[in-house]
Amino acid sequence: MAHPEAAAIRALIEPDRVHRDIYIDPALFELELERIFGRAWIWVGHESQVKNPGDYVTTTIGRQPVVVSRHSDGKIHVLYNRCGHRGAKVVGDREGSVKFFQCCYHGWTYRTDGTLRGVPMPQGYVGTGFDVRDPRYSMMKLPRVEAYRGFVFASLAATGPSLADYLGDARSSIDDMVDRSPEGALEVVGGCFRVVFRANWKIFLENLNDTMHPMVVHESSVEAGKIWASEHLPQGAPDPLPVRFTRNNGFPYDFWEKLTLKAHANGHSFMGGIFPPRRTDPVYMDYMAAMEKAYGKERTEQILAVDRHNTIFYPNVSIQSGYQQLRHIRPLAVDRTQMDVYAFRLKGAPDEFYKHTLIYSNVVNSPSSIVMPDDHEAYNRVQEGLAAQASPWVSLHRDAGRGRRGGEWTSANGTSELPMRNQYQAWLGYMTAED
Amino acid sequence: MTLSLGKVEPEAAADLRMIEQFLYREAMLLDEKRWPEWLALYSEDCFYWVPSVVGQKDPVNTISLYAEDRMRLEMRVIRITHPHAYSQNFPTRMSHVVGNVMLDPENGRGFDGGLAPKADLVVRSIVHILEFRKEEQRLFGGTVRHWLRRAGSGFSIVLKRIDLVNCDAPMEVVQLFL
Repeated sequence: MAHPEAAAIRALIEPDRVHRDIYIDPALFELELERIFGRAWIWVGHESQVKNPGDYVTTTIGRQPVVVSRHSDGKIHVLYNRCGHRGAKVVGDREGSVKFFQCCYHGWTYRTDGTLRGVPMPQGYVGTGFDVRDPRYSMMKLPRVEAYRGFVFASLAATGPSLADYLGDARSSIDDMVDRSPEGALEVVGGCFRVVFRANWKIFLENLNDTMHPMVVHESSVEAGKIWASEHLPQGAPDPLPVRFTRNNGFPYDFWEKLTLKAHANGHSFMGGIFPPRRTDPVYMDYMAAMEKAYGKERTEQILAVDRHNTIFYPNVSIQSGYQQLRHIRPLAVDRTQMDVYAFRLKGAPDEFYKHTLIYSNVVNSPSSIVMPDDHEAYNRVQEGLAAQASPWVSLHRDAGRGRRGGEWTSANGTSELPMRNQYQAWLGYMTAED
Repeated sequence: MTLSLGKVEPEAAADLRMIEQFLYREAMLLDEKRWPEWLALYSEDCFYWVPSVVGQKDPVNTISLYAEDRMRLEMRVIRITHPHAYSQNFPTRMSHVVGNVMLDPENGRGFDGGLAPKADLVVRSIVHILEFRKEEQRLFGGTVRHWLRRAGSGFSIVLKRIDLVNCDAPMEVVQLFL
C-alpha cells in the first residue's frame, strides 16, 4: 500500500480543526495501526490478571494477537500469539492458566516465556535449516514490555521513549488510583465488559474529556435520575449512587467550565472530578478507617484530595480513578471500535466498597448502561454524518489558543477543546515520525 | 401449597398453566412496551439480573450486564420513554418467545447469587428474543429463572435471572429489557 507523504498527513491536522478523512479513510486507519499502535506504549493488561506463574490473558495491539503471560520466574512476558511453525494462533482462550502453551495444529509446545519447548518427532529436522533454539521459531516476544504500578504496557517497536518518559506526569493519575488502596495495590476481579460501537476509535477518545456533551447527550438519563429522586426521596436526601451517576451529567455549563483540564505533550489528558470526592455512607466510612490505619490521617487526606474524572493515556486506555474503572480501546476497523471495560478492587478496602465500583460499572460502563447508549448514538452519528461531503473540516475551535503552559502540562478551562487538539498533535507526531 | 421438585402433581399441573400464562404475559408487556404494567409484575424488593459470565456466582464480585434493583428498573423506564433519549429516536423493537417452561429442577439453588429471594417457587424457561433497531436485527437467547412469590390470585417476580448464551460476547449497547 502506498503511504501518503508526511506533508499530506500534516495537511489533515490544523491547530484548531481536523480533516474528516482521519475518521473515515480506511487507508489512514491502516497507517494508524502501523504508526500509532505499532509504535506507542499500549496498555495490555494488569499484573493481577496473571497473578501466578502460568497465568495468561490474550488481547490485541491493533490487529496483532498477543498473550500476556506470567513465567515460572515470576516475570511477565508479552508474546505474539502465533506458532513458530505454521503460524496458527497458539492460545485460543481469553484467559487461563497452563504449564506450557501447546499449538492445536501440530502440537508444538512453548514455555510461558515463549521459548520453544518441544516439537514432535524432532529427528525430522536434523540436517535442515531449522534450529529449536532459533527465536524465530518460538512464540516471539514483543520488543518492549514495561509496567508501572501493576499496569502493563507493551510496544511493537524496538525503539522509542521509555514507559516513564511516555507516561510523564500523567502517571500521577495511576498513582491516584493505586494510592486509594489501603495496601497500595489493585486487582482485576470481576470479569470484563466488551462493548462495540460503529465509529472511529478517536471519536471515543475525544469524548472522554469533552465536557460540553453530557447535558445534551445524556438528557434522558439525567432526567431519569432527577425524576426518580424527586418522586422517591425527601428533599435534601443524599443521592443514591445510580442517581448521582446519572443526574450529575446534567449540571449547568458553569459547573463544567470551572473544572480543570490538563493536556500532556504525549497526547494524554485528564479532567477534574465531577462527583463529590468524599462520601458519607457507612461503607465509605469503613474505607476511610482502613485508609487511615494504613497511611495515617494526613497522608489519607492527601491521597483523597486528588479529584480527577477520566484520564486518557494516548492512544488506547482511559482510567477513572475515583470509581476504579479502566477502559481499553481496541480499534477494529475505521468505523468500528471495541472497548474492554474492567472494574478494579482496591486491595485492603472493605468488601462492600467494591459494590460501589460495580454500581458505577453497571450504570455507566455496561453494554446495557443507562448512560452509555446515548454516547454511542452520538459517536455512531458522527461517523455517519462525516460521510457528508459538506465540509472537509471538523471543528475543534473552542477556547483554541488559550491554554496555559506549565511544566509538562497545558491547562485550560473545563469546556475547552484543548484535549482533542492535543490528541491530534500527538497523532501527527506518531503519523509523521521517521522510522 | 408446595411444588415438589421436577414432579408435576395434578394440582401443580394446573398451577404450571397459570405460571406459563404469567411468563407469556410478561413477554407481551415487554414487546408492547407497557412499562408500568410490566413493572407492576415485580415486587418492591425485586432484583433483575443478567450475568456477564457463564455460571456467574453473584452480582457483587463480578460485573453484570444488568444488576438492577427496583430503583434502577424504574430509572430505566423513565429514560427509554424520555423524548430526548437520542438512542431511542429510532425505537428498539423486540419480540420474545418463551418456551420450555418448567418448575426449576434445582429450585433455584446455586443460581440466586446469594440474594436469598423470599420466593414460593422457581420457574425455569428458555427465551429467544429478536431485537431490531435501525438497520440491524439481533438475536439474544438463554435460560431464564424466575423466583416467584404468590401475590393475591397471581404472582410477583422477586428475582429474574437471565443467563444469555452470549453473555460474554463483545456487543453493541442493549437498551431494553430481556
